[in-house]
Amino acid sequence: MEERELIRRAQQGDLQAFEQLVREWRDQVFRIARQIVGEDEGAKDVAQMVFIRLWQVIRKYREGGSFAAYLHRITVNLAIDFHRQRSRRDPAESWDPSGLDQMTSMSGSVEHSPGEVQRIFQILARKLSPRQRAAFVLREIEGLATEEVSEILGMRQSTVRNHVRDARRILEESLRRLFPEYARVKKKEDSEK
Amino acid sequence: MTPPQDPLELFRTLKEIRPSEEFWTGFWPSVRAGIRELEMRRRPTLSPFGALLLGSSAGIMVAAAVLAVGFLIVPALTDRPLLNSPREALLPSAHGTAEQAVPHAVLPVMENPGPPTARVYTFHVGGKADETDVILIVDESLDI
Repeated sequence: MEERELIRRAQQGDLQAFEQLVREWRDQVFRIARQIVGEDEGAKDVAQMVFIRLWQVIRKYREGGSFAAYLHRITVNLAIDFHRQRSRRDPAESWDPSGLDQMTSMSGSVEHSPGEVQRIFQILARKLSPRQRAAFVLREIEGLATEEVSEILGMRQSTVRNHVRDARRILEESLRRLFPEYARVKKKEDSEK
Repeated sequence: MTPPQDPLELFRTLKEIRPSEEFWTGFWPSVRAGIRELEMRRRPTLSPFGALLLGSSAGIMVAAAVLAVGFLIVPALTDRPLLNSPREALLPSAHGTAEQAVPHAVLPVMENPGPPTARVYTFHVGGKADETDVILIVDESLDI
């Protein structure tokens, strides 16, 4: 069934159609939530909350708007809330240097698994503010256009660009410092781009 | 995997990570349970007994309203024309007081209705042989 039809049915209260939507979007929702929240179980909880929230508000979604942007906005907002609440509960979560030794030893080899990259990102991204992190995830990892990111985050495109630029700088510096084997020195022409 | 030229290229690979099907076990049931819980919270909860009671109360209220219409309002409306009977001359206007309303010389002796704001209506019923006066005293302050 086409996505538009699934949305229409879900808006009329069809749970089966909604389940289908959940199946189609859960990977992406989880992935975005994980990069913001920083761990799998929390991200899974956020994904669950996202779909429950989506069910609550799906009737308000108007055809013609981007469903992806609609869903991503819910995801980012809930993920940031979750991350903030957890950081308040456990301030060490915002920056945990204890994981670094483990990671450095893990990264002794130049070959690395996607799981290892994930772990590195989670460690380095703790230095980013929630908004910087969200902007970076949507723009650089998910590959969305700046315009879409600005719509999702409810901020100006120039602000999105600033957040992405700052996030890139922070991540790059941290990566070079903490995981130099992953950060080859860029050629001069690359850095000028 | 060889490290990419741009160090941040590294993180673009994160898009490719997909959780296994196993990871999602129990996910939809949890979402569905959350949705149901939400909907239960939205609806006012009413036990079967409560529903019965509410139904009965509503029924009693409707019945009471019907009875009130049948026994109080309809007779009051249908009785009004009697005020235009020949005895009307003896009756006060609707705004008259009790004292003004009942001339003792004409009507039978009766208890003093008390409050001066009371309204007195007299109805003349029956045929010539068993003609009777019915006197109706109305006042909010009368405690029957």
